[in-house]
Amino acid sequence: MSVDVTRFHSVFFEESDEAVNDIESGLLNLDVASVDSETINTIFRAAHSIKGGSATFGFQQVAAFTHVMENLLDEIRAGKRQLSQEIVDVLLGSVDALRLLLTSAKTGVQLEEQVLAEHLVPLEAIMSGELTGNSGSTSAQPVADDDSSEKLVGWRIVFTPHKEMMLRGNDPLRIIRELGEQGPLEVACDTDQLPEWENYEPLNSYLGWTLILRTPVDQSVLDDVFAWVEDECDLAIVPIVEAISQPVAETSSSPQIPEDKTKDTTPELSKESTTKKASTAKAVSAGSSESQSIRVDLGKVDALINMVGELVITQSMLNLLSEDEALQGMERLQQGLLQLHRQTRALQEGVMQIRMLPISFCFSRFPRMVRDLSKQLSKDIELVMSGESTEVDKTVIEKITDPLVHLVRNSVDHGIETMEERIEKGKPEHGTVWLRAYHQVGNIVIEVEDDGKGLNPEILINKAKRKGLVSEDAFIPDQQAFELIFLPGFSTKEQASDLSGRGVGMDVVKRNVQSLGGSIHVESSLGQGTRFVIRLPLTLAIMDGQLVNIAEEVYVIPLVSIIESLQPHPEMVHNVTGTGEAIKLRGQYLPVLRLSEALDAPVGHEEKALENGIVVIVEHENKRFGLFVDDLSSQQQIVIKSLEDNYHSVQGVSGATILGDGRVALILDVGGLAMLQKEVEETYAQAG
Amino acid sequence: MPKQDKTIQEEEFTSPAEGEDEYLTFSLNREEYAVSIMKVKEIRAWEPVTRVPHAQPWECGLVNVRGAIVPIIDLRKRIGLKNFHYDKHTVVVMFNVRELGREKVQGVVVDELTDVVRFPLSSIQQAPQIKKSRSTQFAQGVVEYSGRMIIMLDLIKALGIREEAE
Repeated sequence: MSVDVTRFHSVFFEESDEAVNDIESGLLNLDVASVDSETINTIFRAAHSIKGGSATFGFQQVAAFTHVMENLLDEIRAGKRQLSQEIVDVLLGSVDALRLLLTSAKTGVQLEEQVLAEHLVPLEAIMSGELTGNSGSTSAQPVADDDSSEKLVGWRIVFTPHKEMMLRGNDPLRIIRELGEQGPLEVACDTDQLPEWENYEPLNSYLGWTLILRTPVDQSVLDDVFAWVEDECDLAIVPIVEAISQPVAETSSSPQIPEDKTKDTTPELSKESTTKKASTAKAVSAGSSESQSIRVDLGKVDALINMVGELVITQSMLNLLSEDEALQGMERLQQGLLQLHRQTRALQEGVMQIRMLPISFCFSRFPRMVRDLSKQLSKDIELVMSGESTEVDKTVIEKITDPLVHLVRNSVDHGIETMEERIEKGKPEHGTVWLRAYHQVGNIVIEVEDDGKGLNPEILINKAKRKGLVSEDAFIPDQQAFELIFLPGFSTKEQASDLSGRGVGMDVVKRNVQSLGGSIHVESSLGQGTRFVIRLPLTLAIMDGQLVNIAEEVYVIPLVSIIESLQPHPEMVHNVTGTGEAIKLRGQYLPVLRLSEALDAPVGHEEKALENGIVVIVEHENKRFGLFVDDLSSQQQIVIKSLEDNYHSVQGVSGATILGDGRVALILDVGGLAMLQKEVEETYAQAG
Repeated sequence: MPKQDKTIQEEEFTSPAEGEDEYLTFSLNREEYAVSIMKVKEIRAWEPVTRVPHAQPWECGLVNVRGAIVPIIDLRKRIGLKNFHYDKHTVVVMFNVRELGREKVQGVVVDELTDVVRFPLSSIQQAPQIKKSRSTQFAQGVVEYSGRMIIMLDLIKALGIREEAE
């Protein structure tokens, strides 16, 4: 019997990604001076679970590599080796290599040995110093390696059943016996997990085994043996190979890694000693029962969310019907409907919560990034994060990560001055970058702030003028000058640096944020620092909308963009050279866009004067303008539907929704309308 | 995917006479058109649509089909007809189409449904190039069926579907 394990691959890669992140954050938290054994254990467990998983799935390169890491970590854990900054650096480097390896295993694209060797050499160099002290005896190499001078002689299997394994009718003894039928088997039992007598649960399995099978059987044979229990145990199957040219005795008695490491490092490094089976098993079982979450396919969650969306529509339809006079007297019906309303909202909120993840999923990469960058730039920079547990939709997290990376990189590279400059200015020697997240009325706000040199509005304006991004004689207040950095084709450093100048400008950051329905602002004071404030909707599926009537059609304006709505007095209305209209509101002239025109209203629609309708003041990119509509209708929470599923995108429209009566209403895209508005505004600017 | 549709169709749905396919026919401007029934998702009565700004003249607008936003086009306008109206007897045929690798649903307004007929693929002849009129540009071929001439509608062209680059 052979079980197709490929369907577990995605789970393995997901878990490995998490484990790699754990290793990384663990390493970053390590204080070299006083090593916290729990942190080391966490790192070790993560490395070990990657090794176990990759061996099970046959990703030998990954298994071999993590094995070396694991050995090093084990020595640190056992106190055999003093932790130094150098070791931490090397381990961090190997985290990168591990990521590459995992990607290579995932995509099937072979990793260049050169790349791998870069990370292996330092790791190995550290190991080689003390490895001789180990008593282990077997050198193993991956069978996947196509070096023909190696020969498979057997397998080393670390088999640790989960506690509950016997409850499911699986007997570890049967498996060991079955292995024994394959050939000579060495068995070492690990009893570390045995609890005190009073805690002993006779139905649980507390034992682990390290098995050495001295027969070159095919891996599939072993896979078959463990097929029934692979989900119920921690399993690492590592091939034992030896060089053909060398006698067996010599290999098994010389566990040192050969000094010549520059060529063909991969197989050599996978040589291992079998000293630490007991501790390994212990670490694994400690980590196996921690998680309180389940993995669910995102498609299932989205289907559920869609369904609840339908329910919300039906519910609002019932609400609409209940307003009928004939039903007003039926109190119990009305009560029931009210209850339904509340419960539907609660259900909707609950379901949306499933998609929510803490922003730490995105933030966790920054400590490492800032550490590496500041080292590279010889700056002393501290990253202070807050609000990592703030929850936000998974899609938002995925899409906001790149822009944030760019912003943090910018702060570290351009924002914070060099140490000398800072001392000269009388600032603290070490710079600080703050990364904050918090909730604010239905939005998540993410701030990236630094206490660096700040933005100089004059330089920005001159540069924008020089590049022809603004007209020569334009007067630009400071705040607007900062916003210039978001213009396409604007980059503050003349020379694109290795770090920040990768062809992605702030305009891309802004576009990404806007594509999520968010906004970005920058505040800065010269010499004191810069702060970017990103505001994002919590979820992309639902929003609060203002229904408006335009030429007898219903449209939705996102409530988040609306500042206020008003019916202008005739004296507020100003016509600008016959082409544009504006209203003067509290001393400020705001251009007004007639939506009936912008949306190409059907012929026969009679245009009203502004004072006979409603002007909805909206804000986009710190600019305010008015949208002229006939009338306001209700405000309600709407489920956003994509137009592109069956149709295509439309300018000025971001999506559609289904109203309570079952009809489709289009959601206006304030950003897209602002583009239309720009023409009007430019006319206005020339005239005024 | 269309190819696959055809195999399913041949294997499972045309048991009486081998090699015959089923077609839905409808009238447009007193001409009879046919479309493979495997492409038809459902048939609905006309319902008010939501107009889309800056759309093509033959695009009526959007409707809600069980929570999905579906565009409706009027084939009568598409082939240049005038003088017609929408009422509760107006028929909308929902088609499953594949555009750029994605399944889509599109609704099409026609004059009237006429029949469901069977004929083998081989009986489809090349459309006679009478003139370059609007109504023939969407013809894939013609079929002689019990004395009637039926035009095979080129759904891809009629719906303006963008096809994948081969």
